[in-house]
Amino acid sequence: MIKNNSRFNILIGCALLALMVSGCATDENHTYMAGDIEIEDPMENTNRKVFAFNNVVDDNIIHPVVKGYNRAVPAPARTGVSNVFKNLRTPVNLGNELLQGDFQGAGNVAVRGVVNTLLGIGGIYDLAGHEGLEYEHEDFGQTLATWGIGHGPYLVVPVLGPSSTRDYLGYAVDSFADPLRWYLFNIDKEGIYYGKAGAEYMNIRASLVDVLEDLEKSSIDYYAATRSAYYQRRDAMVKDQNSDNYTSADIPDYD
Amino acid sequence: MKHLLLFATIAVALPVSVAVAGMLSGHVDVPRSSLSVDVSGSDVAHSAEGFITDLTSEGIGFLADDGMSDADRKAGFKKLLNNNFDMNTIARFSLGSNWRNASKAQQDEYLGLFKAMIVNVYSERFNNYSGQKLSVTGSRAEGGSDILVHSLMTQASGPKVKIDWRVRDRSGKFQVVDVIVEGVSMAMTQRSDFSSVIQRGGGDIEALLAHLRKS
Repeated sequence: MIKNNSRFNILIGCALLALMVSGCATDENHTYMAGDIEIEDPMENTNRKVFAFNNVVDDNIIHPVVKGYNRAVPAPARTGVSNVFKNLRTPVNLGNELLQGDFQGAGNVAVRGVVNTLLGIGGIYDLAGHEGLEYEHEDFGQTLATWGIGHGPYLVVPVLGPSSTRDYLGYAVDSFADPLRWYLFNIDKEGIYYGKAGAEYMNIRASLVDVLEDLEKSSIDYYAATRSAYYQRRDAMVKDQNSDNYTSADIPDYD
Repeated sequence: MKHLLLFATIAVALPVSVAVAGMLSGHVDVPRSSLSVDVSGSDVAHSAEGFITDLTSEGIGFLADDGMSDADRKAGFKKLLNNNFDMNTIARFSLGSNWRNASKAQQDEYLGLFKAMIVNVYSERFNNYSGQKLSVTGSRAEGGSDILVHSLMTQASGPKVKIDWRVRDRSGKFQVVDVIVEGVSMAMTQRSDFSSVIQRGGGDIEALLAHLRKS
């Protein structure tokens, strides 16, 4: 377990270091607005370099792999794969719903987990979803947001992509706290955990490939467009995707 | 790393796909009633919902028409966009406060370039049409005189996508002023994009115009 804790400490350390570094770099104005959402990007120069690096990795490795996967594997099977990963996230989603004080959400997660695991054959079928109990992705970044903690500086993480100091810290906490991870590490099957993490990452990328290519084509400054879209998307997720909760951009009447 | 990820993906995907393929094929999602709150079923809300239903079915109609040439499709799409989207409002919003700093000549050139870009981007985007279906699920009032029409896009593969259409009521004629995909506003993203281009170009709108002229 010492090994795991040190890994966790390194992650936290990096996040805090990033926070401190950014805290020093306040001499220039790096604040942007996307409607009501404030975006701080004091590490923009570094972020842009990492973003460019990620695009090279995407173009040469990630996109060819996920496009091959999307072509080779039929849509229903891909849905089944996504469902299994969503189901495996049940403990993490449940914990975060409870920490957010969203007990109705926690109830939904619990019922979904039980129904889909038992009747949906280990989560392959999203039976609960068909009954109107939609999947909701919860993470510790969103939990921190509901506790009133802001994003902090924008962060482009190598390979993983757009994040913020808060959200990346949340990601580290979720990964560390995941009971599946504790279980697999305790029975010395770390390999399975990392394999699952890698496959889960590729599964998410497979569902995003078209959206990101669209955004790249339709934008001039892909970095700025992605940054804006990231903050808007996270804002919507914190508000549980409910379009009754989030306010869309306030577009004035110019005429 | 590449091989590890590839292997991991295949290792997980293959057995599952073998087990699931076929069993799920032909499975159809049952549309369920919307959870969002209707604008108390007012007439204007109903007609805004009808406007989006008509607009999207017309759009999908000629995208799915294989007999149409690419040029015809693009022309049809251009007409559809110009008739039903408030291009001037979207263009002005996308430029933000930079609009006021631009000369009349720059403003006019910008409007023309913006419209051309939108048509190009969207006609290309929707050319990859692969059987998506869109159903309107409800609406609510937004801002002063706008209606946010909620819809759900079902794809042949992948999850359902939430699309909200911000519709402006112009004395009986509806026009789309924004499309919000999974919480991400197209107009806002465009505005962030443009403002960064101008800011990095030394605060001069010419930096943006130069890019738009190229596209």
